[in-house]
Amino acid sequence: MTEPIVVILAGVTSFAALWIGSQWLRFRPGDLAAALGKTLECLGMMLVFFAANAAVGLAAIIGGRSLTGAFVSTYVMSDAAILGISFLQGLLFFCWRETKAGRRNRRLRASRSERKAAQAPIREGG
Amino acid sequence: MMRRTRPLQWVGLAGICLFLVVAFSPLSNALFRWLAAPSDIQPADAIVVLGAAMDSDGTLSYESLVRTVRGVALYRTGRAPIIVFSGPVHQDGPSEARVRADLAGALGVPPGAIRTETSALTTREEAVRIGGILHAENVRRILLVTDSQHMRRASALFARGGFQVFSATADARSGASTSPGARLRLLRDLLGEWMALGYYRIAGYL
Repeated sequence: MTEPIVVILAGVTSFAALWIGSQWLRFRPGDLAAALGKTLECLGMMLVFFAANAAVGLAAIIGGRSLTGAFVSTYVMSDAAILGISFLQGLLFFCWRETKAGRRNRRLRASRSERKAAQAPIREGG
Repeated sequence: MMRRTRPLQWVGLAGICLFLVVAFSPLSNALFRWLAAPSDIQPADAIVVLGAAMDSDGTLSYESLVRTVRGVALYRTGRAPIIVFSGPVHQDGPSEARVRADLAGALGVPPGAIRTETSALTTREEAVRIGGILHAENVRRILLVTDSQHMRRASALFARGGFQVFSATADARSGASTSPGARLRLLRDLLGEWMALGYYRIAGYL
């Protein structure tokens, strides 16, 4: 019974968001594909952090056991909080990267328009 | 011109696909059935109830409680004359094994039939230390109580210790779950057990 409820719920809120975005907020439907690409990239970053956290955590637990004899259960690594933390790390890192990319694009556009302005013919007798 | 897909997008896409397949298909149920060991309950010399987890205030985890009740039920139906509870001490509180032994006593198991092991922290240590206790009592055939996915690793360790092992599974999680959340949790547990199996093989414990 849970499965159909989850699917219906996701469908209803997704359609509502699509309608609000296109009708009220005037988002361009053509930008949705680019947004999906960014979402996948952000999710990919989150998963990379999750894999890194899992690998470093397991190595530290197993290495720590053999080097110091201190026991920490590997079941610690199955805590859902690690997934949440990894997703926050991935989101922050992704936004940081996007901020840098945005600044670089703005600089490029500015230098292009400066070049264009410099190359434009000077009108005489205006 | 089509934009080139970046590697991170592929990782994200793989993550979404995996999430959807695990949450909305019976994949984790099938994997559970594949990894799980079935029960093979036979008369034995001792019932061995492996540890699970306990909070510092002495509250048994659901897994620990399910295993304890299963062990007590096996004892009460006359499957073996001895029952061993495992489970370490948590900080300054009582050991998991002691809490389980008290519960077994309250459920009608005589104190003379109960043994406890409170120092083992891993499945391998449990097999070694409980093995020591049981060999001293000339026990050869044991009924091992743990969850289905853990049974394969645990029974192999006890068999290596010279015991004839019969499985008595006690599952806190159903392998027939149909809710997306339960399927995701099931896969998380299975992955944990696979990693443990891999580690035990690499380390030469199995």
